[in-house]
Amino acid sequence: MRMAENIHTLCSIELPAALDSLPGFADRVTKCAREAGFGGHKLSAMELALEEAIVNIIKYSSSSPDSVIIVTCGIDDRDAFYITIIDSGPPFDPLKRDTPDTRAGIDDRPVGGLGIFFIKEMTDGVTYTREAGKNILTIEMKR
Amino acid sequence: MEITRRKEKDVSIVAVSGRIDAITAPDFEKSLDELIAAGDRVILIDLTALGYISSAGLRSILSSAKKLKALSGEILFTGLQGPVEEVFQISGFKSIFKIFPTEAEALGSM
Repeated sequence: MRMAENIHTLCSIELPAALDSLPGFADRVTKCAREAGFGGHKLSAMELALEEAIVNIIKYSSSSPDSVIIVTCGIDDRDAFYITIIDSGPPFDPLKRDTPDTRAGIDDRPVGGLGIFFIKEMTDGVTYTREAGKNILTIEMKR
Repeated sequence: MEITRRKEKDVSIVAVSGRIDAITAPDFEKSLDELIAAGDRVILIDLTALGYISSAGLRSILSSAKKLKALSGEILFTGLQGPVEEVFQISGFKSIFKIFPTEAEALGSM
């Protein structure tokens, strides 16, 4: 995945780091992706990846109640779509989580742990960086 | 999300439409828990009209499936399609649960 400086921003939205913000983020990102020419399967995959990323931040960041999440959508010169999710919580790299054993049976399977796995499986790339006190997760979806 | 429940012989049929996401998943799980608490042991979940499910929804399903299994019950599925089917595929849920093409086939397997 290429570096963020090649990405041309299409839209940006800032909402409280709370579950109630989920529809707001999803509406804005899917609208932006649709306008950029994405639809069908790719659009559903992006919506899912976005939810998983945001829920993850809300669950694990233990940030203050007035904290916000910023989601930015953009496109690069190869026409790939990027969703960048930024929060100011404590450093947390979701990509370091273990990959779940998807072959385990009902008894052996832990409840949870699939969110980050979905982001990795359903998109074309995901990167995490920590910059200036912020967690920055970037999801790439190719055309 | 909308949930419609009915009973066919000893099978509880739960048709869920709309979205099961991090916001609606707790209600979905509560609905399954109510059936389990009421003594239902076989629950057939019809996903024909479900447009979206995230890991929060799978978490609810797995949690209820574990409770049921401990009571010698089980959760079955029918109506898998579109993005929901893809999520079931990637997560491995397609191989750990019994999935039927139609409700009739699910009921016939009893």
